[in-house]
Amino acid sequence: MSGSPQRFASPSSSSLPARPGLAGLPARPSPATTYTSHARQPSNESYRPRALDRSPPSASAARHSSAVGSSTASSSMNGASAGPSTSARSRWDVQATPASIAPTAAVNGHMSVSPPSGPSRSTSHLPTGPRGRSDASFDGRKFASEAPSSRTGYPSQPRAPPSGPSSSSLPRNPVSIKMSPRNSNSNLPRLPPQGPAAFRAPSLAPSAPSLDPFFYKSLGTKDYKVEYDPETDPSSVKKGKEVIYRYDGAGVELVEDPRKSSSPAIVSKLQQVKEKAAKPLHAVTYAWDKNSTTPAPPPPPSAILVTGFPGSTTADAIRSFFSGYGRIESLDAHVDKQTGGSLGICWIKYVDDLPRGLDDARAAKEKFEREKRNGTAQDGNKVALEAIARGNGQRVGAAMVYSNAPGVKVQMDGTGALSKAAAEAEMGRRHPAPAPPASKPPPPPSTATTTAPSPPSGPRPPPPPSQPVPFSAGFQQPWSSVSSPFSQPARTPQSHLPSPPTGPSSTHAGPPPPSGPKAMRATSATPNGSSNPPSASSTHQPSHARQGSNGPFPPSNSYSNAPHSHPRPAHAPAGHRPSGGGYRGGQNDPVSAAVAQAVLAAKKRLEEKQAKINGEEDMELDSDEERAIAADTAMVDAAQAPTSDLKAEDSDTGDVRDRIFFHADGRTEPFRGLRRGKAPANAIAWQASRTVLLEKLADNGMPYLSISRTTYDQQRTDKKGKAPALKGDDLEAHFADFDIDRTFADRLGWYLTFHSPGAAQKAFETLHQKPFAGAPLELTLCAGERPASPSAPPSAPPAKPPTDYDTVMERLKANGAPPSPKTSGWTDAELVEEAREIVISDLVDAFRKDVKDRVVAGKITEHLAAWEQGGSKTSASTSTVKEEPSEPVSAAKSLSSLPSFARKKNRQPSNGSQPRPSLPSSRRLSSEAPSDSPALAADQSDSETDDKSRFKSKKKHDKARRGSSSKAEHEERPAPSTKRSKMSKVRVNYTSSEDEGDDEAQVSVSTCPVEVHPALPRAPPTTNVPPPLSFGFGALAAAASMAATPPPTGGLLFGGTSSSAPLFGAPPPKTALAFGGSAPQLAFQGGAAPLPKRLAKKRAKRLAAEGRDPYEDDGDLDDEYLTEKEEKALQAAWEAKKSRALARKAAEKAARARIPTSTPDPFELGIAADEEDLYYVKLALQRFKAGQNMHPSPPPSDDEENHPTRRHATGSARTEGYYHVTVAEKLANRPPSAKAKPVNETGERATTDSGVAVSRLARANTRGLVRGMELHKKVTATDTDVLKFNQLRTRKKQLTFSRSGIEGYGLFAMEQILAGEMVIEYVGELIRQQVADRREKAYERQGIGSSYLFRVDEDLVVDATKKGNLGRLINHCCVPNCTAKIITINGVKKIVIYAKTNIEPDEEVTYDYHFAWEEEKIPCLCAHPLCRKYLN
Amino acid sequence: MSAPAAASTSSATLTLSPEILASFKPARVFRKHNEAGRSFTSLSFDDKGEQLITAGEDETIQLFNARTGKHQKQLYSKKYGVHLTRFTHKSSAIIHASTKENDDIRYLSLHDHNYIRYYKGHTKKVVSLQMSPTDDTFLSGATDDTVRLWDLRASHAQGLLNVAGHPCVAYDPSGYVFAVGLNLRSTILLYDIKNFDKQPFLNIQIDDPILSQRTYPPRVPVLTSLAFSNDGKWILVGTSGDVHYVVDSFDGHIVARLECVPQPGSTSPAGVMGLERAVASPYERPMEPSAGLSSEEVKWTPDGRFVVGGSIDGKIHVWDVAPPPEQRPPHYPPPSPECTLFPIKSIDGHVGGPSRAVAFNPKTAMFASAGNDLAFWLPELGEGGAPDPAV
Repeated sequence: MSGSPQRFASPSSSSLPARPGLAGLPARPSPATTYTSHARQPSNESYRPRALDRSPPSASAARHSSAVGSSTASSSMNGASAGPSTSARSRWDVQATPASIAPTAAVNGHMSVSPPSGPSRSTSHLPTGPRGRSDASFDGRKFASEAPSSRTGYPSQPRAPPSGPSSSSLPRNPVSIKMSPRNSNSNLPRLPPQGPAAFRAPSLAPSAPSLDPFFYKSLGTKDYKVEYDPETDPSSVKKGKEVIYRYDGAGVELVEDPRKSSSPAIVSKLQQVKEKAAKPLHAVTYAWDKNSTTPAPPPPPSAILVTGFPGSTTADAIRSFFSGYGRIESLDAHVDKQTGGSLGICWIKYVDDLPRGLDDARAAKEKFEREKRNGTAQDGNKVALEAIARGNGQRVGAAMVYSNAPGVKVQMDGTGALSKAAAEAEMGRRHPAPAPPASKPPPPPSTATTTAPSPPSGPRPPPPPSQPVPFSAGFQQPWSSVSSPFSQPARTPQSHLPSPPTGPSSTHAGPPPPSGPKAMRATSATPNGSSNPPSASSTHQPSHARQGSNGPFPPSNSYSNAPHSHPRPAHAPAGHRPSGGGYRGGQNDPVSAAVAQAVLAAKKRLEEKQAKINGEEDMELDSDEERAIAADTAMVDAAQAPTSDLKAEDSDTGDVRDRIFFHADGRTEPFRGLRRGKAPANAIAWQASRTVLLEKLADNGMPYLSISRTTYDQQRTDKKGKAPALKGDDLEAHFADFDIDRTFADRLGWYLTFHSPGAAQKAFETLHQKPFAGAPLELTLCAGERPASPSAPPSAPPAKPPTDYDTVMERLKANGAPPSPKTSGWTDAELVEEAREIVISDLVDAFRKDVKDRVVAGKITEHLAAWEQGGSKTSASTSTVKEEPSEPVSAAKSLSSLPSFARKKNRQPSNGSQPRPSLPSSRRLSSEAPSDSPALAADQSDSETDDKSRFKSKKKHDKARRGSSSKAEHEERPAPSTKRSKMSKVRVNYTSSEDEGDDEAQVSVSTCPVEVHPALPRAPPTTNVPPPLSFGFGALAAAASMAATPPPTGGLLFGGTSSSAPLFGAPPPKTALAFGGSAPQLAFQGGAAPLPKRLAKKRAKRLAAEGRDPYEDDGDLDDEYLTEKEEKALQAAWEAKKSRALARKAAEKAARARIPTSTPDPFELGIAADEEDLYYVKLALQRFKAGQNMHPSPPPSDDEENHPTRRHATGSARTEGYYHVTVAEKLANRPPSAKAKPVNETGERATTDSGVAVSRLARANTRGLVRGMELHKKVTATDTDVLKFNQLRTRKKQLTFSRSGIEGYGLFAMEQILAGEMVIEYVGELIRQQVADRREKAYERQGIGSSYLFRVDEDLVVDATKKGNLGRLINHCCVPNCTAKIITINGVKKIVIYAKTNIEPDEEVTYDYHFAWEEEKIPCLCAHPLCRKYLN
Repeated sequence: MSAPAAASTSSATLTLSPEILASFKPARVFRKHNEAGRSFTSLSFDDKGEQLITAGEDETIQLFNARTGKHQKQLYSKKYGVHLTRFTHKSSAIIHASTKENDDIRYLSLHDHNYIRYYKGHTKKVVSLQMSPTDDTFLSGATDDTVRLWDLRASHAQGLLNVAGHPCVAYDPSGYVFAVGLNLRSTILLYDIKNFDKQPFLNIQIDDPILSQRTYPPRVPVLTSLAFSNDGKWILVGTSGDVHYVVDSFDGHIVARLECVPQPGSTSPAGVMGLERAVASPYERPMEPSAGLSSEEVKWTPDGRFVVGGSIDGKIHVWDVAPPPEQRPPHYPPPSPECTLFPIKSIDGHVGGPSRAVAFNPKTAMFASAGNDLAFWLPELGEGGAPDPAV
């Protein structure tokens, strides 16, 4: 009976040995050792007795198991194999179906303890046990039939006495649990056991905590596993003919991850797997064949290189020798190109007949083999190999044979490359390369204005003695230590290379620029010497050194080394000596020295500013600052390089950046600032850059070509009119054949240097008068050392300054900034002054334009429109100032609400220390209508614009605080001394300008935008301005402070001397300057966008609280010492005031433009066409004066105007098409509640009853089906959406549509819908995306405002517009009670709305549309408290 | 002629690294071994990595020598059609699924072109087929919503699993566990090979949070292939969509999402990769892939670190899925369902068609990819380049 255990073992398919003595023998091998994957603890007390009622053999098994360890007790498989005892199975049945089986089990209960049954069970495991096998088909169904006979009544005998001697001592019997895996009821394959919960629970809980209840199989199907299959039984003696199946895991108690078991077999297997995976892979390569992607490899070499024979050996001798190995295809005996003699190098290629092709490989090969046998074909590679093997060391030719020469050397050289290289080497050996052409030492310079050109190679000659010494000894001292021509020969290799002189010929591929990122910045960094790292200076020094210690210095390079900390150019060491002064020579040109000084000073200032800026994080300040800096920079740059072509060179660090200094047209725009004022300096600076150019040219040392630009341009324009700008690259390309080194350009022409001495000559010959870009190039060949200017000698700079200079000057004059008469020498102050004027004039322009464009024009048109509509209904007409024209007021009001416009401060210059009665001007009052009660007006205006101004002022305020050097965080901290010193500096500026009677705006500009904010508010305490004045600076922001300190005198609008009158019309320079002074602020406000508004607002709010205090203290401002807080507040107030004043001014301007105040001729002005018109005009003006609207408003229309229904413009609704209903209208018209409206007037729904009836019917009809589904759900433990859909489709929910409180119609529930239930399917046509797109447009065209397109997936859309059900009426709600799901039924996707929450009758059904975020917002009308406001 | 064939420097070995993976280039392209316009549909290497068997739409079976990169044999299966060719553990015999006549799986002896056995049972097309790594059993999943376990020696199934939806199957490399992927529910069920008929011991739900962020409702891609990594740690879940997943095979967590970089200028948030979009027009596109293009296009490398995948545009993407911690590149996202990995290399592979099948050689550093043509890929082991000979 060997088949028996096998069959029994198969359920677990264990690797156990046969278990003949399984049940009875205490020492039997434990199944638990092999099946330890389940850690089940039969901890249930109520279950334990069942173990105890077992027969002794079972108990012994239990003992064994407990010995193994109950925690790792053997699994259900163990149970299945170890104890397929009938009693155990029956117990399981009891457990599983207690309701049905328990009674019989109780009856059969004592059978389990009856002696006969025990042995029978134990013997069932023995191979000889016929009974054990007979009932152990392990098919549940079979078993079920015989189960009653052996069923034990566990429930009836929970405490059965132990029948085995040792079983009582065992508290647990895991086996008993494991022995129960027979599910006899095959009809309920998945029925969860409903026995004691504790029994089942531990089995599942640890094994699959995350296990879903879905088993994914359809009803009635069964999974099976073949337990025994004779076909796969390897043994020859089959155990049976039938295949034995196990269905649905019968007998398996629980399933665990076998990989997590600690069984040694599995562990070792997993280890094996890991090792296998970690094994490295073999590397293979494929021989080339026709499928290869790479091109065919070259055939094996069939050529050889023969060397080592004397020159007397003839080629014929070699040929005759080596043709002995095979036919020679070619023989190349290299000869000395100069002498014609043999080099002793010979390259021999043998004929190769081997077919290499792959296509007709076979035939060709056969042919080859045939011919080879005939001797007419040879394999070149083989022949070559043979030649190498046998020819090596042979003496070739008669000359060699009779000499003692060592014999030739033969090596493989398939391509001939080796032989070429050898020939070249030999040539090089025989004829060493001629020394690079030594250049002549340059003649000494004739004038002091040109630099000494240095020779390109070799030791540099000492500087010519005749050269002037441009610098004083004090300057020279530091330089002399580094400027010796021989002291640092190798510091910058590329600038000392003998030839080529500098860098690679491709100028773009120059060495990396040494300077830091700042140096790369286009404009602002240019003069910023500090940005050049030391490496830059070190690379510069050689170029200076080249000039000798006496040599002039290039103007641009020297200062780039300058540390910016030096206070004065006069004390600057030579390392950063003034750039302008050096080259000219101090003694013969004081102007240049002055310019240089000025430039240096300006630079220094810029650097300081830059540093300051860098310290600040304020973006706006930065932007503002950069404007000023850019202006300054432009100026400085222009001073250095008025010939703007060389600007790049100047801004770069000379040699270090080998770039093309080539600009086709002079960039005049950035240099406008300088040209404006500095014509003579211009020429000098031009000269300076010219010098640099000459130096560069001299560096090259070779002859170079210069191309006259003027003639060229002229020719071009003659030919083509306005020719496009010439590009440097084109020119370079034009000369590309001639080994050009570098290209330079200046105003007069272009300069091309070459690498080789002859190249210039060659290029000249080739390209002279050859057309280039439309015009012939006029080339001039110049000797290497002295560049000759193509049109003007370098010593004679063009007398005429750049042409636009004049125009700029004119402009400046027109702007009221007179050109400075200073032409000789520039001090720091003068330079600054000049810059200031330029900046001011620019700003004035900008501001004027800004005011015109953005404020006045807009306001005028806006107001005009308002006016024409029948009089402004602003409060202005009823304001306290009756005689004030309404227009400016309203304009001012609206201006004050402009978000991004600063209001001008209202400040008046105080005359020296004389306390000037200053009044916070009320911007409410125009010049024509001075207010009698300024405080009141101001108060009012404050209240009107409080928020805005506070917002603005706080922003500024905050900025100022951050910008201040002290960075004081504490509100109460007094300003530290550093601040005081700064303040005092500011004060000097301020007071001095005041003394000069300048406008205060100039001060604000002269103190530079950085300092505007910190400085100005501080001015009041430091200048001896009394409290009223200081208050005048800042008070307007707060009405409270107004009340606290009433102005000494009233009625002054603009304060002080500035009257209101000159503000209009063409603003005089002063006013313009005043505007200009605030222009930075404007720029500020305009550029305030980067600052996050919200942040600013927050800040403003925060500061609003603190800012209020100082104003309350303002009344007792007897102390000169303002706390910082006060200062800040003051400043903020000042800012606010200023902006307000600006706004007012603009408004006044607008008013001015609108209403002519003088007595012009009305007919001339076109106001009135005739007398009648004039009459009405007068009438209107009277009305106007009386504070009424100019146009009499028509009497209020009666009914139809106020009628809410719309009128049809065409007279017929039909012709109108459709009306667009705005959101506002929707909001206005929506029903108050979201409940369904009663259908009829009586308030009862007719549909309700019938609907209920229908529902009842439907329920009845489908009850059976539902029950079946429920059953199926129970059976399969499946609860899928599919099922739910099917189930719920059987009975539709009672829904109705009605006017919705959300929009249009909505869907309302008429019965309670529980959460999770299906509500309705969104039915519609299933269309493709493209169709949907078209339809959407069509619907839009037809005026179907609502979209009923519901996207199913990326390609499909459900369109319920024309065909659909109620589901399309469901409205969006941000907090919906339903949700839409896409489920797939029979391969078709459906949109189903499921209830998310319980829906009460009459409640509207909503779901979230989940629109994607879009720029164009669709407002949400769901009115839910948590509404997101928008659908998308 | 230089050294004939197989310059297989069998001694030289290498460990795959991102550099090596990135250096793979097509070394061989076979264009003439299938009918024009008919694509290869599946690739399989034998255990030793010496031979490659292909199935094609032209109903031929091609045998290639992977060591030498040469075509060896062409077999026809015109009567039954051929799909999912798989080497058995003997390199002289393969199994393959049918596309015609019936849905049997066929056991074919290569050297005499004889069918040894038909495995009968499936009633619809078989879409997934894998040999057990350890013994002569194999698993098949078919569109009749069943998974069957077979033994090469018996023509009837040794096990049956009824599942809902079309399954794809994969064996754990230890052979103790197999996985069944259900495309309908984006679920992967892990079964103990001994007790699969009872229930799965692990149920992995592929719930991709990224998809729901992109579209509402999320467009859940259809699972078309499963593959355990060779070390058994990960499961690669190939889909017909534009994303594949890597799942921890022990705890079932999504470890990574594999996507490709979107084309510049494309509006879709993810690169286009999925194969199924080519077959059916969108309207007709079935929810379940009926033996469509997808299922053969994503494979593990033998070391279980990289994933090589084809895509609809013919590209071959290489993902570095499981770099060892010490080699993990900086900013490597931690494993999570949101962890989206982009290819370390996307190589333009097959022109004018999808790269439908990819197979990495289990023993040598080469892989094959197939679309309308077949390519053998080798790393370009440059001088001083990536490869580091391990031994």
